[in-house]
Amino acid sequence: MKKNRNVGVIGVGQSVFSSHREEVNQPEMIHEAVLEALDQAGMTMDDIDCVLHGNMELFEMVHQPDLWHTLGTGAFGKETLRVTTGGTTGATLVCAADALVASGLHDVVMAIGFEKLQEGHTTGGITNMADPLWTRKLQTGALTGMTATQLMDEFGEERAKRASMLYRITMDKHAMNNNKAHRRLGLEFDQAEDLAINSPPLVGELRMIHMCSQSDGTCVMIFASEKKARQHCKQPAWIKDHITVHREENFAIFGDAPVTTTHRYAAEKLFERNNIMDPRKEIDMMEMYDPSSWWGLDWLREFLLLEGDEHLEMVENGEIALDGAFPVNPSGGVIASNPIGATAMVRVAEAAMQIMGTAGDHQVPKQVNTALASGFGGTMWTVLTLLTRDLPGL
Amino acid sequence: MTTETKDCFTIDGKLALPYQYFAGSTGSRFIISLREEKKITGLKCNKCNKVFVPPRSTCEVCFEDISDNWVELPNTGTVTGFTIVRYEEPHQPLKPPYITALVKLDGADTPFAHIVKGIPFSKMKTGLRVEAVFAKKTTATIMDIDHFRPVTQRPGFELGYTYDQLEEGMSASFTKTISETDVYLFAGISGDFNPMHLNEEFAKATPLGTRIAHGALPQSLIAPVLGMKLPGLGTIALEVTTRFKAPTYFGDTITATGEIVEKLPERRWVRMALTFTNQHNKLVAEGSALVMPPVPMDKE
Amino acid sequence: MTEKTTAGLVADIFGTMEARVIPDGVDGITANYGYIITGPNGGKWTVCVADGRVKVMEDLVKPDVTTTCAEDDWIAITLGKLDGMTAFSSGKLKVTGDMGLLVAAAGFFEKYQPQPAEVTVADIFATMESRVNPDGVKGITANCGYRITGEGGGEWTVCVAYGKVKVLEGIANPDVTTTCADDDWIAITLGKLDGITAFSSGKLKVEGNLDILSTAARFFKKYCPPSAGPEEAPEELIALKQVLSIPQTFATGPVMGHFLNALKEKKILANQCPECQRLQIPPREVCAECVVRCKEFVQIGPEGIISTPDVAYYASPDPLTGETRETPYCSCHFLLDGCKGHETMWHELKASDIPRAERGVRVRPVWNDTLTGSVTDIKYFEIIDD
Repeated sequence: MKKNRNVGVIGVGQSVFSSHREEVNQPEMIHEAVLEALDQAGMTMDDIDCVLHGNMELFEMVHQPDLWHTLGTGAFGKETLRVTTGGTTGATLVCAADALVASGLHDVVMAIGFEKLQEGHTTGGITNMADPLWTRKLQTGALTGMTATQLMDEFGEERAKRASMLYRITMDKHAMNNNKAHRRLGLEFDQAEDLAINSPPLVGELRMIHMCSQSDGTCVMIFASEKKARQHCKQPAWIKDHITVHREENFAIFGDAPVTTTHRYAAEKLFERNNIMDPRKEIDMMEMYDPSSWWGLDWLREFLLLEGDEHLEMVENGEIALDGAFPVNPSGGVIASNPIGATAMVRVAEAAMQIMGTAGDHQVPKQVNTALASGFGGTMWTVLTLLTRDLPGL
Repeated sequence: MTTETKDCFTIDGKLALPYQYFAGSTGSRFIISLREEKKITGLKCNKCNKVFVPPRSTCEVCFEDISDNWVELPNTGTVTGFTIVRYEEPHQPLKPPYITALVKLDGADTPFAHIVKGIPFSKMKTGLRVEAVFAKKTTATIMDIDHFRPVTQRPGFELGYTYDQLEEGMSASFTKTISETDVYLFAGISGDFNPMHLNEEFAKATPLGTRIAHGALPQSLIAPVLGMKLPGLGTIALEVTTRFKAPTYFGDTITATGEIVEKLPERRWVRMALTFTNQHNKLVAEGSALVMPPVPMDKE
Repeated sequence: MTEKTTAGLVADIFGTMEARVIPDGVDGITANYGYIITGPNGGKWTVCVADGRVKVMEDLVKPDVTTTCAEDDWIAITLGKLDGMTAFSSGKLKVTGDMGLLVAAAGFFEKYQPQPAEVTVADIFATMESRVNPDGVKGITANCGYRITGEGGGEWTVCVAYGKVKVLEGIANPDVTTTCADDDWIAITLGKLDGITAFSSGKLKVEGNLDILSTAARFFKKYCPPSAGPEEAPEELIALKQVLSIPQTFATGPVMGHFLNALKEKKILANQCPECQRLQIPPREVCAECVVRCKEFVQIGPEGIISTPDVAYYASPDPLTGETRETPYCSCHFLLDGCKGHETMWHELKASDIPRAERGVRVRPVWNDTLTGSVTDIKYFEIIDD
């Protein structure tokens, strides 16, 4: 990626993620995270040049929220853009903010991803994204058991089920350290067998325990040019590169198509142009958009370009744990908290926090020099963002 | 490239999704005070002195938390902009045509959208002084204010509303206390010296137990409404019918109200619903009137 | 109720009577009311009413009327959880002597306020009938079984029908049964543990019809723990609830139109990429991989095999009707004859074939009686029996 100038993340704000926030309206919930991000960056709204705003289109059933949310976003009198690219919205907001600062159009950009899923009908909204002439009638929202079926076919039912539950419990253990996380269940590894049988099935072998939550919440990030970033932040998280990959237009991602090709394709391209030969060694941690523990497990292989059962081993030997060799989702991931329009941004924000050293109780013990964040959504879109502790060369 | 269209057709679909919107603590307080106390409240920013109605927990300009700084506002305000909605679609609050206006309450800095009724479209203007009319039935929404209506009285010597200026739903009333003198004078006018109106001792023996006014006396109070208020000067009453529902006692205060219920385009007449209520809001009579509104003398 | 919570409660009910007298209620009455309360914490008392005053004595003293009742029932009656008349009719409460005197007794005392006590599972179920939310149970007929494990647990069935709720001990013909530990159940009831969270984490297990359970959250008004006293009214938060409903019209375009029109003749078409030769079902204008226009149509199927079955247990709404689908249903990818690899067609498998839904099983489409050129022209696919 060719950049005019470097861009650093200097502030992150997150509202508490929860299944119900009746006590605040949409702009008020956004405002909580805006104040936290400004505070962390040591800035006021006067320092912000441009405000980006994004969420899912059909989830709250209100239109042009970017305009009337001004009350909470602080975008009064500032340049504002709205981004809505499905599940990847949060990651696309980061790409847009990076582009606006890197290009020199703005010095400081604030990006806001939010969702209040309690207010709408998530599955209904997703269903309406499908091709109305064919798949809308057939699809089941974002739920599928096909990945589970495929993994069980490939690795045997027992091993696949166990690995997926290990992944799930590891994520919950991470979420227990993150006081902003929505679902913190306090699971123990010895519950794995019981949960695999007793958690209610949703679709096929996808059970309720495997699936991500529906959350209300906001994530806010502040991006600054190198000069501004250095003025306001001791250790910014620098945006080294990002890549967006789309696949075909047909809404068949939950079907029998080879769905994960965009993940592997994006990873291959990104690593190639950043000279990353061995991602597991050269990247220190990852925040993955993992909508279910089956997908999380399966996608490790795609993002890290693994072969055979290496991804299962990573889970089985604890490599993905907070203190493991390659921590995945120290925040607890999407299974723990999923305010969809914010979710992909939370991945980048949490990866940035690991580099900035501001992750608090869920800070990984080793120094994070390079972090990877993934976004996923829509009709099979992938966005990958690479962040570094050292200033990238231009 | 040309597109082969023989196979093209359309399929009807529907997007039906339930949703809810949370007003939040601040918004809820505003709605609850409308619903419970019929009071309009706002929040004031102490930094820039701006008063937000409906209230906002944050001043969008100063970025200050103002959620504790409640102020109460009067029900009166000024129209800062308006439009007349004439097209019809299912999500509208009223059947068009109707006036939707921005009303800035006295003491508020933010105008808000609502509905104005009770004024002919041709006389609607920015700067019009209006007051809130609260809804009889609550919906726990901003529609707990049913609409705004003009507060200014029309000058007495101006010709009344013409047929074109009248709208269904416009109403006016006249109120008067019925005294013993009124009843005696009415007896003289009508020649009806029936002792049940004039002789208390006689009246005590009747089922009502006391004197009552002539039925036609409260009924006659609609005349000043039709002739001087709605439609107003120049009106010709064609037909007035009433049914008496309850007696009028001496000292009762009667309010006669006329409301436009139907416009008859062929004759350019209007039909009005009449109600007569006493000080206890009890219906003493109701009826209808057919009137010919004033015709402009000089055509502009 | 467990012994722990009732110990001393009966004595307390009688002990506080003199302080709870309503002067108007006892005015003009002269009588001795005897009570025999059975059970480990029971006893005998006499309530003497005369000259507008009340004196409570232990043991039976020349009673004009004597009431005999089990301690749990007596507590329930006093707390308004059990109707005295119902208890009498069902034989839980027995009366000897001048029964007419008892009618007046209902107005003698102010309501008894129990001393703070611990929340018990039994109390949660015992108070359900008095906490029914009429809107929440409207139009619902269901038996919800509850198996609460642990020391303070037990089994109950909440029967909802015709806008009424009856709570029975034991599990009786449940449509759905919830299993949960006593502590977790109390935490859920008090709002300290989110029901969905408990469900997802397996703390709360459910067998049977899940849909019913999703409505059960609205059956009852909030449970007030006995120790809480008169509860402070929570802040009212306004929510606007609406259904957005927009009529739509979709244009098929020439390619999808061709495919849909062929369905009217019970033909399934795919179109083929001239470069990579792959088949697209339903067909699309271009092959997105090769970025070339696909003009060639080929007829496939209509029989084929199951490629990937996806059995949905979660009832989602049908976006076209807004109605909840029946579960389970099987959303399925079929590899029709003439197709290979990922060239599958997405449709549904007949519900009764779900138990036999496996990869490689042969299927055929079942067509609707009226064919309109839409996805529903095929009702579903069914397994071909040899």
